[in-house]
Amino acid sequence: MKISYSWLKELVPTRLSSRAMANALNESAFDTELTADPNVFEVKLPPNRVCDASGHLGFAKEVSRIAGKPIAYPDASFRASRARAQNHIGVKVDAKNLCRRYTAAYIENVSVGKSPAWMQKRLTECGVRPINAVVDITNYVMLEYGQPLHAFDADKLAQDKQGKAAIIVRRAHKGERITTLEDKSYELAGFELLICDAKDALAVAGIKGGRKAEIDRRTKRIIVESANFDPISVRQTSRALGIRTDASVRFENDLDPNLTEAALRRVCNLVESICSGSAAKGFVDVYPVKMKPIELIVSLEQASRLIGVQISAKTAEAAFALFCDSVKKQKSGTYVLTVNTMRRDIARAEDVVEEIARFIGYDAIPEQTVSEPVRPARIDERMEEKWLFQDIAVKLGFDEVMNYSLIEENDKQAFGIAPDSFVRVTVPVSGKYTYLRPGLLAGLLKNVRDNNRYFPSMKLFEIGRVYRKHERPDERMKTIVPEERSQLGLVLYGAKTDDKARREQFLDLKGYLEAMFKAIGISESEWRFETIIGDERWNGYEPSEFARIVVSGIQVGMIGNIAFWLYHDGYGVDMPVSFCEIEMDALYALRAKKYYDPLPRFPDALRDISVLVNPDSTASEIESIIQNAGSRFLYKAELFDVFVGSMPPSAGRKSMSFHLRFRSSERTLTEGEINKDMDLIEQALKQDEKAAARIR
Amino acid sequence: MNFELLKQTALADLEKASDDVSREAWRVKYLGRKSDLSLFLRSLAEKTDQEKRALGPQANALRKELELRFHGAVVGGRYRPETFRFDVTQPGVKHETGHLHPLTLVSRDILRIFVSMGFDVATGPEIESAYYNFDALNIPAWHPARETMDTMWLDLPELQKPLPERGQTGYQYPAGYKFLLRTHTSPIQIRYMETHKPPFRMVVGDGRAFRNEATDARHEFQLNQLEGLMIGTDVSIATLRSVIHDFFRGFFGPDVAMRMVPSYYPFVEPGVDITVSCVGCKGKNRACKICGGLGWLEVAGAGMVHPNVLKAVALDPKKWQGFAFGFGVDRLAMTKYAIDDIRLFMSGDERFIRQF
Repeated sequence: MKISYSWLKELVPTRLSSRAMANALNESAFDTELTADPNVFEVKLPPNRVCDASGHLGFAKEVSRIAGKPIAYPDASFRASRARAQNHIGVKVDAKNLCRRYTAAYIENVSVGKSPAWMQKRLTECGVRPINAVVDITNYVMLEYGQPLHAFDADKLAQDKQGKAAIIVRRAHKGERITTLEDKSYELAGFELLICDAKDALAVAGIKGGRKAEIDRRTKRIIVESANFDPISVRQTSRALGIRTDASVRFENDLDPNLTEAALRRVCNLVESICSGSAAKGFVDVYPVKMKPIELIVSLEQASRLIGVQISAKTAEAAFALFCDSVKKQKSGTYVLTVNTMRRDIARAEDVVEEIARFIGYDAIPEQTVSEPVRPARIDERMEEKWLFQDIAVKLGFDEVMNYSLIEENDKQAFGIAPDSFVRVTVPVSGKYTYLRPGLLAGLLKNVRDNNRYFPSMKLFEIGRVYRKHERPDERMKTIVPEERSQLGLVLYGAKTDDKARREQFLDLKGYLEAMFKAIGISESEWRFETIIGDERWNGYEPSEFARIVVSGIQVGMIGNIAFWLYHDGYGVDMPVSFCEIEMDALYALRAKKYYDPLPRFPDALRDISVLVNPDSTASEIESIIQNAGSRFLYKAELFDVFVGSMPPSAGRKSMSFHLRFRSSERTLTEGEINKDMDLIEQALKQDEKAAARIR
Repeated sequence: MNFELLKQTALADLEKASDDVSREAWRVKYLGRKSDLSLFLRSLAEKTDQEKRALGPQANALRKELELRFHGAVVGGRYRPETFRFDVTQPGVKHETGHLHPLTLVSRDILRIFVSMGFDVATGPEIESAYYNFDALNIPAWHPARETMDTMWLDLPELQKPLPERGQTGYQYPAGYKFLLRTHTSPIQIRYMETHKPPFRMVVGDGRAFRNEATDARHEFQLNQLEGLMIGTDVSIATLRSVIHDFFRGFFGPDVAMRMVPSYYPFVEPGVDITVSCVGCKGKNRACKICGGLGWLEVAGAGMVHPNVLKAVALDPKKWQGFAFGFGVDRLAMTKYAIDDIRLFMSGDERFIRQF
C-alpha cells in the first residue's frame, strides 16, 4: 500500500526525514520501505490494521506517536442545503447480513470538472489515477479516512413510486449481468452482493462501480455511498470475478461501520468547495446493529509477565491513550479499556500487550532466560533415522540431492503403481507439477540426466517422503487415506551399456547396500536379495536384473538396473542406471545394537572350491548348499569367481568358485579336521542337482 | 642347501657393498634369476610333496629376508642415485568423499544449537489436514491468511472417521477436514503440544513446506522452514529475545546484532519479525549482495503463542505462555554460503552439491 510522506507531514508537522520516519515506522509499527519517489512509502499493513491505518489519518496516529506531536485534522464541515437527503434517496437493504451499514449523501448542483492539482498529485502518489473531480474526491477521502466511497449519478437511477432514486442492496440473480466502469461485462452466479436501482445493477458492492450510473461531465445530482460490507462476501466475490480494487482490499479486511459518516462528511465538504455542490441535509443511514466498542480488562501484572519486564502505570497509560476511547483504573489496579472501534486488531488482552510492547519498543526489552528446570532434549526417531542414513551414504561416497516432492505427468512412467494411487494437487503449480511422488526414481533419473554432461559417473542419494493413496478396508466401506513414508534412494551411474558392465554395476550397488546394513548392525545372515521372476506389475527394471531386498524376513526395498526404455527413452540418460529404494522406517526398525565380537585367537584355514553348476543355479543356492553341508568348522563361504562358458567345449556351462574359511575358537585346525569338512561339503554339492557336477 | 650359511654370507657381502654398482652385483648374485636361491626354488617343483612342504617355506622366507635387507641397504643408505628422485608435485590420486546437501548441513547446524539449549526435535507429515495447518492455528475457514498462503489442496477425500495414530502412515488425522500439502511447519507444533506435557521446548527438524507460487531466484514453491516453540509459566518476549539472539550468535557468530519489529501472524500475539545485522558487510557496504545494502537481514518471524492456539491444544492460557518462531532454512543457507539462487537447492546439480 502506498502512503504519501508529504501528506503525513501535513497531518503531523514534523521534521523527520522520510528515511528516519520509515525507520521509526519499521521499528514500532509497520513494514515500511522507501520507493523511487522520495515522497512515497510502500507499506505492508498487516490485515488487521487495514481498518485503522489504510487511511492517511489513521496512519498518521503512528507518526504522531513517533514524533510526539498531535494530528492536525482536516476540515469536514459543510453548509447543507434546504433539501433533505431522505426526500431524494430511498435505500433498501435486502441482504442485511452482507451489508452492515449503508450511509448515503445527496448532493445537488454539482459541476464535474477536473480535480485540483494538489489532489491529483496525492492520488497519483498513492497509485490512483485521477478521473474527474467527483470520482477523485471519493478516492481521495478513501485514502484519507480508509473508507471506500462510491458516487452515482442520481439522474441515471430508476425512481421509485415516491419519485426517489431507489437504491437496493441485494444479492445478484443467477445469470444477471453487470457492465463495470471499464466496460467489462460479468455474468454473476447469484452469491454476489450488488448495489442496484429498481431495475439494474449499479455496482458490485464494495468492489467496482457499474457503467449505468457513472459520473460524467453532464452529471448534476449525485448520490455518494459510504457503506460497510461483509468482508468474507467481498473477498469471495472479488476472487470469483477476478477484480481486486483499493476498495475491495479494504473491505476484505473488515472495516469499522462507524467510519462511514465521518468520511461522508468530508466528501460533502470537498464537493462543496471543489465542485460547488450543495449537500442535502442529513444522510440516509441504514445501520440496524450499531457496532459498539469492546471493553477489555488488562492488568499491569499480566502485561509485565508476557513482556518479561516490569511495566509502569505511566507507560501503560500512555500506550492505552493511543487506541482507547476511555480508560478506567479500578481499585484492584486493573484497567478497563474501551477500545476505539477503528482498532479491529485489538480484541483481547494480548493485543493490548502488543500495543505496550510497541510503545516501549521491542529492542528496549532486555534478554532474559527462564526459571524452569533443565532436561535433556528428546529427538524424534525419524530425525535420528535420517541423520544415520545420510551419514552412512556420505561415508560410502554418495552425494546428497533433493528433488521436488511433486512430479509431472511424464514422471508417472517411473513408478509401477496404479494410476489412481497417485495423490493429485487440485491446482498444480504452473499447471505442471501435478502429482505427489510415490517414489524417488523420477527425480534421481533427472539428476543423472542433468549431471551427465559434466560427470561421466556418479553416486547419488536422496532421502525424502513419498506419498500415495492407500485404500483401507474399513468395516463396510473402503476409506482412502494418505500414505506418507520416508524412502532412501541410491543411484549408481557410469557403467558401459554391455551386459557385463551393467551387471557389475548392480553388484557394486548391492555391495554398498550390504555395507550400509552392516553399518547399522544387521548381520550378514539376516539379509537376502530375492530374485523376482517376471514382475507382472511393472517392467521398469531390466529383465532378471532386479531383486527384492529382505531383511529378517521383512521386505525393506528393491534394487535393480533400470530398463533401457525408461532411462533412455523416458529420461534421455545414455548409460545404465542402477537404483535401489529402501523403506527407511522399516529398515531402521531392524537395526541392531552392536557388541564386540572377540578377535579370533587361532588362524583361519583357507580352502578354495570350484563347482560346475546347473546354469540356472544362483550363488545364494550354491552357498546355502555349502553352508548346510554339516561342516563343523566352516565359518564363511565367499564367492569369488563365476565363469560362464561361451565357447566349446565349455559352452553353456557355468562354474562358481568359493573361498572357504574354517575357524575354531579353541585351537588351530588340523589338516584332518579341515579335510573332513571339505569332504562333507563336496558330497553335499555332488548330491544336489543344482550343483550336480564336478568339483575341482 | 644350507640356508643359514647362505644368509650369513649374503648379509656379510651386503655390508661390504658400498656403492650402486657393487650393490647391483650383490642383487644379481643372491637374488637374480640364476642365483643359488632362485635355482633351488625352481627345483622344488620336481621334489616330493613332503620335501616341498618342508623346504619351500624356508627358502621363501630367506628370499623375502634378503629382498628386505637389499631394499634397506639401498633406501637406507646415504647415497641416493638420481633414478630414485620422486616428483612430489605430481597430482595426488583423485578421491572424493560423499557430500551432504547444503540444506542438510545448515539444518544440522541449526538443530545442534537448539538441542544444546534443551529443545526437542519433532517431525510431522507433509500431507496435512486443514485442521492442523489452519484451524488449530487460529486461522479459521474465513480467515484471509488462508488465501495468502497459496495452499496446494489434494484430491484426497475428507475422512469420515478420524484416522488414529500409528495407522498406515503413523500420523493421526481428524475427520471432516480437507487434505493439503502443509504450507508451513506450524502444524507440527500443534501435534507436538497435543502429545506432550508442558513446559515445552521444541523445534521442527524436517521442514519442507509448500506454496503454490511461481519460482524465481528468491522463491520456490517448495520451501524449508525451521520452526520452534517454547512454552512455560514465565516464558516472555524477553525470553524470546534471549533464546533467538543466542541462536543467531551460535549460527552467525558472537557479534551478530538482532532487532525485533512488529509484525502479524495469526497464530501469535504479539507478532514480530526478526532481523540480524548483515553477516556479509556488517552494515558497512551499500552495495552488499547479501543484504542489498540495508545492513540488516530479515531472517525470522516470531511472537507469543496466541491464546486460541493454546486453547486448541487444551492448555490454559492463564497458566501457560510462550513463544513460537520460524526461520527460512533456505534463506539462512543462502546467507551462510553466499548462494544467490534458491533454485540451486533443488537442481540436483553435482557441480553445486560437491562444493559442500
